[in-house]
Amino acid sequence: MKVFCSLWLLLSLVKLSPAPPASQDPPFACRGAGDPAPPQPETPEDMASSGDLEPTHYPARRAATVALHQLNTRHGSPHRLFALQEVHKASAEDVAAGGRKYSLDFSVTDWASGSAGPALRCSAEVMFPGTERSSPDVQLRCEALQQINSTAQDHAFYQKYIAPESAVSAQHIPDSYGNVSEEMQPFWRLARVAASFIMLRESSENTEFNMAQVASVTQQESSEKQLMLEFVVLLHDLPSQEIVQWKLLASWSPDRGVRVLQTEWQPRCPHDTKPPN
Amino acid sequence: MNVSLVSYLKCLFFFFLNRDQVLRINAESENHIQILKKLERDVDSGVSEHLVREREEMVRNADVERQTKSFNFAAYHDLETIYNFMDTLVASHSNLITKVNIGSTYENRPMYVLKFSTGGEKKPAIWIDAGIHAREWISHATAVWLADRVNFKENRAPVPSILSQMDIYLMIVANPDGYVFTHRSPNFYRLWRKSRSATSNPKCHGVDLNRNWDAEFGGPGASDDPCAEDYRGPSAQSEIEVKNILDFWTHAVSTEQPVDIRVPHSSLYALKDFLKKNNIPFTVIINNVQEHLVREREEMVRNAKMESKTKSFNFAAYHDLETIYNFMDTLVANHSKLISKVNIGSTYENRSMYVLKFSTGGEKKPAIWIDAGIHAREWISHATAVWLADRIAKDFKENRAHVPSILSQMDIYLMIVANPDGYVFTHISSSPLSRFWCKSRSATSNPKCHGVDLNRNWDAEFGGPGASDDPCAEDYRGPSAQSEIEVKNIVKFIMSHGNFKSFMTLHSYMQLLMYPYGYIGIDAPDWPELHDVATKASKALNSWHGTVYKVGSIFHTIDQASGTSVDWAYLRGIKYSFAFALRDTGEYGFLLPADQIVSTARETWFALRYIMKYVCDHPY
Repeated sequence: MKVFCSLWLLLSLVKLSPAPPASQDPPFACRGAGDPAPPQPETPEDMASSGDLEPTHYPARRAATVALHQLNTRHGSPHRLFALQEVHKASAEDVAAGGRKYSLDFSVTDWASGSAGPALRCSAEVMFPGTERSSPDVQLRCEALQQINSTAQDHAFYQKYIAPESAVSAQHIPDSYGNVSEEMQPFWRLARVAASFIMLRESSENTEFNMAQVASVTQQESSEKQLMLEFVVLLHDLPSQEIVQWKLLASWSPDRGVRVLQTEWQPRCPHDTKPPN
Repeated sequence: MNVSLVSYLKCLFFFFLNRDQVLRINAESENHIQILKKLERDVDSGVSEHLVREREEMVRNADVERQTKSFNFAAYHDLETIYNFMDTLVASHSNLITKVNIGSTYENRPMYVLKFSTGGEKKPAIWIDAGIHAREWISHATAVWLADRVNFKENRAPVPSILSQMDIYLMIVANPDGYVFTHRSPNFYRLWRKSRSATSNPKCHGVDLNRNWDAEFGGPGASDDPCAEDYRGPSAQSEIEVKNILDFWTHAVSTEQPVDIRVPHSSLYALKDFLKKNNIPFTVIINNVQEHLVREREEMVRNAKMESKTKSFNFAAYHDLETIYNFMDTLVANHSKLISKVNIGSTYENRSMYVLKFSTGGEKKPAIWIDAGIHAREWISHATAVWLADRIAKDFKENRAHVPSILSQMDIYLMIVANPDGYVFTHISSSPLSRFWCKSRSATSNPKCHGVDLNRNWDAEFGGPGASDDPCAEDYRGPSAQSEIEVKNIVKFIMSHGNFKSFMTLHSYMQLLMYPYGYIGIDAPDWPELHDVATKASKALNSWHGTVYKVGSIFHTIDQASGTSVDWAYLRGIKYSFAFALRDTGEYGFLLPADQIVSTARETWFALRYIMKYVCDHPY
């Protein structure tokens, strides 16, 4: 998380495919001089045993969340979005070059189908590399996910918004009071799928990302039969409580799924009331 | 005094006379009871003709029924015919209907009410009157038909069931003088409306009997001119028709129960003489009825306003600080014996910090602390606390377990908004990010950055890992322990009280029920018990809506955190210290939809109630 504010990394625009490249961090901008705070010192308890982890504790949950981000980048859609239901078993071991590998057995549910949906059983290995600036590597298997299955709703949604005149534009999803209009629900999910690329890329053992809000969504001109959407998303990191703002450009179609084309970290001159530009 | 709608209606119909008294009459024998029963039937404040005699004169044979069957309901009748009809009706339904003489008119005609009753005492009653305005003939005619219709002889629903539980009083002609006048020629008398009393203007008679009641008498919507159709009269209840109604507050049926009757001042001596003559003991229980009723009415109006305020409070919505503070005042006013509002100090921006104290009395009883909103953006915590405040008050009032027993032994302190400055900031709409403000709003060493994470500022391993030294960070701990006035105020309050046994704080989100420690990963000494209590509480929570909470220490479930309130409380010896992270698990996060407030609050209440009962049952 503190990686964002490191002195010596430059902003760049990155083209992403389903296999994310190494992250390139933006400047710390408004923080002023000084190094970022050093990583949390680890107490002996932190070095949690190689071996079994308590499934309800945060180390297992964080690793599972990373696996979840991966799952959503691959299989999320306007009408399908996965959420972590429960971690059943977890273990971790040190691996080469200071990395750590987690083995997980967990269940996910589909937020789009509400509480009615069944839980899917998944297993994953999540590897956090020893170097701070590298993204985790995830190997993931979930039952019944062998083929990508676009729903009828996805197709209807696609037909509606691929039309040339379509120019969706909205802000604050959900709004301050938790409201999301019916029409905006698929865009909300798409934003989360796109944000999952970023969350996956930026995760470490010391982060736990969730998308807090879609600050804005602006439809761009369609290209190569893909819906093109520009999102500004707010991510919430649980351990540090920080809200981090990212702008990104994503494409989607029922056939190709979500692809993130550009990401840009948006520094907030911290805590002032002027909106970032 | 229990002020019900019926008694309020009674108040509406009766006059508030100065120096009227209420006498409590204690029947001592069967004879007394008979005398009182007759007195009750013949409500003419004192000695007068008994209805029994009247009725005996009215008893007819089979012709009676034929007579009522031949009564022409499809015609207008004069007063005498209507009065005859009443007698006939009573005679043929003597089990159900009685005719009550409630006094005389200005021109000395009797005023009758038909009482429909299946017996019993103190039955709640329904009053219907017609003809208070003389020219409105259809009203008398309708009432005549109604009287005939309302009899339960043919067991037609819902009359029998109504009459099994209530009495019906039907006054067919409330203004006999006026009605008689409308039957006189010349024709224009047909449009007479008022009574027929003399007025200050010798040329003009009568008062609008429906402007003469003591209900904002004298206000707009009536006239002071005796010649006007809506002349209100010289004073409230000046008209005898409106006046002489003597009511029984209760009905005497046995020697066990006293009869309370309100006696107009003018009849006081006659009645007292009557009772003395018959050796029926009585006491004056209300010395001046008007004063009493005025007070009662004022209280009732006040209560109704207050009740409608809390009843109309929308718990399924998020409210700003001012609305929440108003809600607190309303709640306190509604439950002034149980709840008081304590001002424990001001915030950085000089707002008041309030705690609601729920107490059944006593000195520094062992106490439970609950706070919400220490992190401004966690709106569901404030909203839950608002609902909890109302729920605790309600459970106490309605004697629902376990609140009364908990409050008999302990006090509950509930702080709905622990970070008012931050909460106000989250409502600023001009900045899209303000909704996600977390900290206080104090100035820091960095002019660009404000605020301290109030849940890292406590004196509990302050300065350790799990908080930041950077004023711009969301988990900035502040320059020193308790540097924030909001934290200082709470610390001062709890330490000077000195007898808190439980400390609980509401946050969101993640659905976790946590206990100490946050600053370190080792188990707290009371870990087995705390874990067990938290586990059972989370099961209670889950029983409402199936919401799943995970249980564990702050360190293990969220992350290492130093300077937290729960650690502080625990290290000060408040054993039962817990932190809740309410709904949800990330779908909406801080932006939980308002339609989840009430179910979140209710499931949280199940857990809190379990913990409070446990604390109560395990004193230390």
